[in-house]
Parts: sequence; structure tokens; C-alpha cells
Amino acid sequence: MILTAIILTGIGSYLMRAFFIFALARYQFPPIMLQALEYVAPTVMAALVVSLLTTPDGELVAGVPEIVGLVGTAIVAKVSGNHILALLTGMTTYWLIGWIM
Amino acid sequence: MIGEGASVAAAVSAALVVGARHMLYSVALAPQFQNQPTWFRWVGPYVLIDQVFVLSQLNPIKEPDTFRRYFLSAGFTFWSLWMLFTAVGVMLGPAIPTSWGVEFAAPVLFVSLMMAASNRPDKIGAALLAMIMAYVFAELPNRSGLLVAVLISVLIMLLVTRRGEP
Repeated sequence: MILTAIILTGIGSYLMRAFFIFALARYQFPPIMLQALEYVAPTVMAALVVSLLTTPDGELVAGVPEIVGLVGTAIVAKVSGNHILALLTGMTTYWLIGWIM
Repeated sequence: MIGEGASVAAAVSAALVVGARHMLYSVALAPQFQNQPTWFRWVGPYVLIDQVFVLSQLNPIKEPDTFRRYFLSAGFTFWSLWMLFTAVGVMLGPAIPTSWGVEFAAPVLFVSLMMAASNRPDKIGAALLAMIMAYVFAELPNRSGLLVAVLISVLIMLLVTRRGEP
């Protein structure tokens, strides 16, 4: 039964990714639609971050170490454009503040 | 048997709702997949994960051959690393104490991707708006609040940025 679930999830998850690439293969995108699509990447990433920091009941589960760690990550990512550096900054800040508190 | 079938259906549908953001990626990439060979339309979606999507959005490549090479190189690099490190994780995971909080790397990674994707002031605004909306709708079932938050934020951004235009 678990195997069935894994296979069905795999097929479904591929179909979701492929669907609009095929469905909209000949669609002429109006400018407003193209502008809307530019906001997909930043908004989905932002919503994913919050989703990872909330419980299914909608409660925020981030304390000071998490918040400061993520702000540090954002600043380093913006300034350096280096994801490894941003990741290291975020994790180190989070661990340091958690250890001090 | 009916009970088992129902639980499989519930598990699969829950997993698909969680992954529904990939449908938005599919829409967003559709324009760039228009001048591409059919085989690439079949293979491309297979490696379409969050990181590859963000990379494809940084500097939209107009030239079809260049875009295809870029997308496949990024896609299969991530695919190989994903396979390799999933295996490493399965082996090392039990040895790493949960008190270390290694799972915090996930939000850190997505904040970094969010900043990379927000390469214009209005996109930073869109991201901040989406964070607020995602919190407001966080309790919707199976993380479907994520999609609602994205759709509302994009609509608000369109209304705000196009106000006053004909």
C-alpha cells in the first residue's frame, strides 16, 4: 500500500509540473499575465518560509534565534549573492544565539 | 481493503496539495517552453524543483537553445545531488541529535532563495506581502494556505503596480 501511495504521488507530482507547460504551449500571454508570473518565485519562496515556521494549526514556532538567523541569512544573501555563505551565516547565528540564551 | 484504499487516497491527495506550488512553476515557465522541442517539454518538468525554478527566473533567457541547456544542466545537477544526499541523509540522519536543530537549514535555504528571486524592489514587496498572507492563512488544511497567500499577493501587486495605467 505504501508503494502504491509513493507511485501515485510521483505520477501526480510529475503531472502537476508538466500540465501547464503543455496546456499553455500555444497560449499568447498578455503583458499583465507575464508581470503576474514574475511574482511567482519571490512569493512562493516567501510563503514556503512562513509555512516551515508555522504549525498546521497556524501557530508561529519561531523564537529569537530563528528570527535573527533568518534576517541574517536574508542580509548576507542580498549583499553577497552567495547561498553557501548565507546558509552558513543563518545556521551559525541560530546556533550561537540559541547557545547564549 | 476499502479502509486501506481510503488512507492511500488521503495520503496521496495530502502530498499533492503540499506540492501544488509546482503547478504555479509550470505556468510561470510555460512562456519559455513554447519555442522548445516536444522531448524537452516531457523531460523538463521531471527536474523542476524549487531551486531550479528560482534559477530559471533570475535572468529569463530568451534564446531557446541557451535556455534549454541552462535548464537541463541546472536540473540534472540538482537531481544528482538530490539522489546522492538523500542517500547520505538516510544513513547519517539517525546519528545526528535532534537537539542540533539541523532542520532549521530548510527555512534558511528558502530565505536565501527568496532574496535571490527578489531582484527588484517590487519583488521584495511581493515577498514581504506573501509572508504576511502565508501567516494569515497558515491554518488552512494541508498547507493550502501557501497557494492562497501567493495568489492574493500576486493580485495585490498587480493592482498596486498597475494603478493609474490605462
